[in-house]
Amino acid sequence: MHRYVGQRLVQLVPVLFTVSVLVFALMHIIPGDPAQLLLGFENTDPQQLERVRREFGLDQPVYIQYGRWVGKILRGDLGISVRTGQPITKLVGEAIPFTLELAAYALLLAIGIAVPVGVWAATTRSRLADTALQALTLFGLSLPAFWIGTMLILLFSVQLRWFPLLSYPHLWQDPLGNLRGFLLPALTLAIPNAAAIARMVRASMLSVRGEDYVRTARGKGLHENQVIRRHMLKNALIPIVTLIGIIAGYLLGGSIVVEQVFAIPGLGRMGLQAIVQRDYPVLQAVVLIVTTLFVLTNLLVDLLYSFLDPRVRYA
Amino acid sequence: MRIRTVTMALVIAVALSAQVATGQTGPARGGTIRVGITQEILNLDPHVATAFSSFQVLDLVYEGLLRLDPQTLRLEPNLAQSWSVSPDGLTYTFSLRRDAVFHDGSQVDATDVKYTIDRILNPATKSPQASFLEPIKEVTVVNPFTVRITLKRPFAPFLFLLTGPGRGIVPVNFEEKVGDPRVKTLGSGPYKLDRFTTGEVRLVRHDRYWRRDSQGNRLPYADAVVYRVIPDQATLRAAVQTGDVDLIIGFGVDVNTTRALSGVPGLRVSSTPDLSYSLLGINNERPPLNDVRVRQAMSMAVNRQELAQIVYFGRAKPAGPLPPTVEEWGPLPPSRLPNSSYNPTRSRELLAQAGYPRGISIKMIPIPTVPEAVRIAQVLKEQMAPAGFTVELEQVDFATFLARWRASQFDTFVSLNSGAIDPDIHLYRHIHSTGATNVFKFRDPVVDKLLDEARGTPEFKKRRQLYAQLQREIAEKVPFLFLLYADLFAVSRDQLRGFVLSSTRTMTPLAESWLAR
Repeated sequence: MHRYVGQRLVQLVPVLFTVSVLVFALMHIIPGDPAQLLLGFENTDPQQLERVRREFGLDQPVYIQYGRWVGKILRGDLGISVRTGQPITKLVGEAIPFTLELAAYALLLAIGIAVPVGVWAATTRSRLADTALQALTLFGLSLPAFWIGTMLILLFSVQLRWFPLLSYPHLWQDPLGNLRGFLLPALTLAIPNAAAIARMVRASMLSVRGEDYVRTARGKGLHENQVIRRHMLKNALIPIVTLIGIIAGYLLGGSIVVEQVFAIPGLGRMGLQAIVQRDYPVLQAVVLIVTTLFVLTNLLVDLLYSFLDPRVRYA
Repeated sequence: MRIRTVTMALVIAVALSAQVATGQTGPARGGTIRVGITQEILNLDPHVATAFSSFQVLDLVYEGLLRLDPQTLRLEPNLAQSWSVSPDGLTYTFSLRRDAVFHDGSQVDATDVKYTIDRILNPATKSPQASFLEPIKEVTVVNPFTVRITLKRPFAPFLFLLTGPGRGIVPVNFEEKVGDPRVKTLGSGPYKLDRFTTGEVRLVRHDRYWRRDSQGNRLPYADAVVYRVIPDQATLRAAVQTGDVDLIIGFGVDVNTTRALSGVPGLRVSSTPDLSYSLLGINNERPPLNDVRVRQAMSMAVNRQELAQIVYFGRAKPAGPLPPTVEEWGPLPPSRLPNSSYNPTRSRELLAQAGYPRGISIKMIPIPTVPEAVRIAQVLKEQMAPAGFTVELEQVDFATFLARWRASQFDTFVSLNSGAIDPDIHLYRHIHSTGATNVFKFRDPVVDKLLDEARGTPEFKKRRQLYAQLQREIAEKVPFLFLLYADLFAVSRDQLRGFVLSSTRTMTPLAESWLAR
C-alpha cells in the first residue's frame, strides 16, 4: 500500500512537468503584450515598454524565462504578479480558502441531494416518478451556472431577503455567516453536479439490482432498506466515487462563472483576471495549482477504491 | 390603563418623529458608504496606476494642486490656494494652503510638490503621467509654501495637468515612507487606506483633512468608504437593490442597468453627459482608407442619431470633435460640420469618385471591454451597407485588441476615448502627427499647425477661434469618426445623500456625502 502511494506520487512529477511546459508555451503563443497592458491603454512610450519588459524578464528568451520560473517554484516562490507587483504566493494564499470552502459546500450539497434522489429513482416502483426524476436531472444538468446563480440571487437575496449578498466571512471567523454567505453560490455549483451524480447513482444501482447477493439478502429476510443500504449502494459506489472525485477536482479549480456571478475572490476569478490582464506568472501559478489539486484528488479516489472493494488491493 | 399607555406611546412617537424631521436637515456623520464597481482594483500608486477602478479609489486618497469642480467643471484651488502666471506664460507660481496634512500628520509643503513632479518625470517611476508633464522645465521651491514651475514653452492647458489623483501630491521620500505604494498609500485626501484585498478596498476617514462644508464642519462625513468589486452586472444591480452596497457607479452601470432599476423604490438614478466619446478608428495609411474621400464617405454613411437611439436608447448625443458639455470652447455638433450628417447617396458618389463604384469591404474590431462597442459595431455594419461599405466584424480579446491597436493593425475599430475639459488634452494626443495615441497614423500639416498654435496661445478668445477652425478642419480630413457622447449613470440608495455624479467621473463628491439615518 505504501509503495503504491509512493509510486503514484512519483508519477506526479512528469505530469506536472508536462503541464508546466504546456502552460508556459501557451502563454507565449497567445497574442497580447503584458508590458503594454501594464502601462495602460493610452501610454505608448517605447522606452517605457522596454523598461517594463526588462524588469519582468520578458525580454529574455522563452527557455530562460521557463528555467527561472521552475527554479523559483522549487524554492516555494510562485513569482511576482506582473500586474499588481504582489507576491503570487500571498495572492494564492488569500484566494484558496474561498475556493476550498465553496468547493466543500458544493460537494456536500451535491452528494446530499444526489444520493437519495438517485437511490429513490432506482428503487421506486412508480415509472412516472422515475421518468420525472430523469427529466429533472437532465434539466439541472443543462442549466448554465450564470443563469441559476442570477435567479437564486434575485429570488433569495433580492425578493425574499433570506441570504446576504457579497458576505463571505471565513469559516473560522464566523461559521454561521460563512454558511449563509456560501449557500447560494454552493447551491449554484451543486445543482448541475448533483444532477450528474444522481444519474450515475441511479444507473449504478440499477446495474446491481439483479445481482445474486441482492436476491440472497432479500431471501434471508432483510428489510428492503437494509438491502438497499448495505448491499446495493455499497456495491454500486465505485463508479459513483470516481465521478465524485472528478467533480471534486473541477470544483477545487474554482468555478470561474460562479465566482464571477457571486463576486467571490477565489482562485477561479484570479485565473480569469490573469488571462484578461495577460498576467503570465499569476496564470501559470493558478493553472499549476489547479492541476496539482486535480491530480491529488484523483489519487485520493484511487486509494478510496481499495477501501470500498476488498478485491481492489494494491501491493 | 391600556388606553393611557397607547396615548403615551403616541405622544412619544409624535415627539420622536418631529425630532427626526428636524434632525434630517443637516448631514449626518459616521457610517460606512459601500460602493459597488465592476473592475478589479489593481494598483494604488497614483502616478503609476492606469486602471479606471484604481482612480475611483485614489480620488479620495490623493489630491492635486488644483481640482475641477465636479459640477461646474471649472478649475478650483485645492492644495494650492492661489496661483499666478507670468505674462510670457512660462512661469507659474503657486501658494500652498497651510492647513493641509498628509495621513501621517506631516504638513504638505513646497518640497513635497517638487518631489512629486520629479517622481513622475523620473523614468524609473515608469509613470504614464510623465508624458503629460513633459512641458515642465523645472520646479523651484521659493519658500515652504510657495512653489514655482517653469515651462519649456507656453502651454495653455497646463493648469489642467495639475488636477486629479494621477498628479496627486505625495510627501518627500514617498516610497521609503509608504513601503510598497502599489498596495499602501500616503496622501492628503479625505480618506486613507485601511485594507486592500482582492476584490475589496476599505478607506477610513482622514481626521485632519482640511476641507470643510459650507457650515464650517470638517469633511468627510462618513467614517469609512468600502469599494466592493462585483464583476457581474446582474449581481451589481442586485447588490444595490438588497442594500449590500449604497452606490453603483462606473463601467457596467449603463443605460440597461438604469432602465432596470428606475422606479424601484428606495433607489435613485442619476445621469450626466460624459466627456468620453465612442469612435470609429480608421487606419489612415491603409488603402483605400488613405483616400480622404473614402473617409468622408464613411462619415456620411453613419446615422449617428439612429445609433444613439438603438445602442443608448437615446441617451447619447451625436459627437463632434469637442464634448458638448464644455460650452465655453464652442463645440460644434455634427449637424454644423461638413461631412458629418447621414447621406448615403453622397457616400456612394464619393466612393465612385475615389475609384470604387462597387463599394469597398472593411474589417471592424470592437473593443471587448466596452459592451456598447460591440453593439455599435453591429449597428454600423447595417447602417454602412447601403452606402457601399461591406463591414466584416472581428471580435478579439482585450490583450489582442490592445496589441493590434498599438501596432495599427486594423482597418477600423470601435472604442471609447476618454475626454477632457481642455480641448488640447482632448484632441492633441489622438490627431497630432506626433501624438502619443495617434494609432490612426493621421498626418496633416494644417491640423498639426493649428494644434501647436492653440496650445501655445494663452489668450482664451484667440485659442477658441483656433479650435473653431480646427473642428472644421478635422471634419474635412476625417482622421477617425467621432460617433457619440453618451450619458454616464450611477444608481444610489436613498440613504446616500449629497453625492453628485460628475462628467469627469471623479469620486471626490463622496467626501461630501453622508448616510441618512
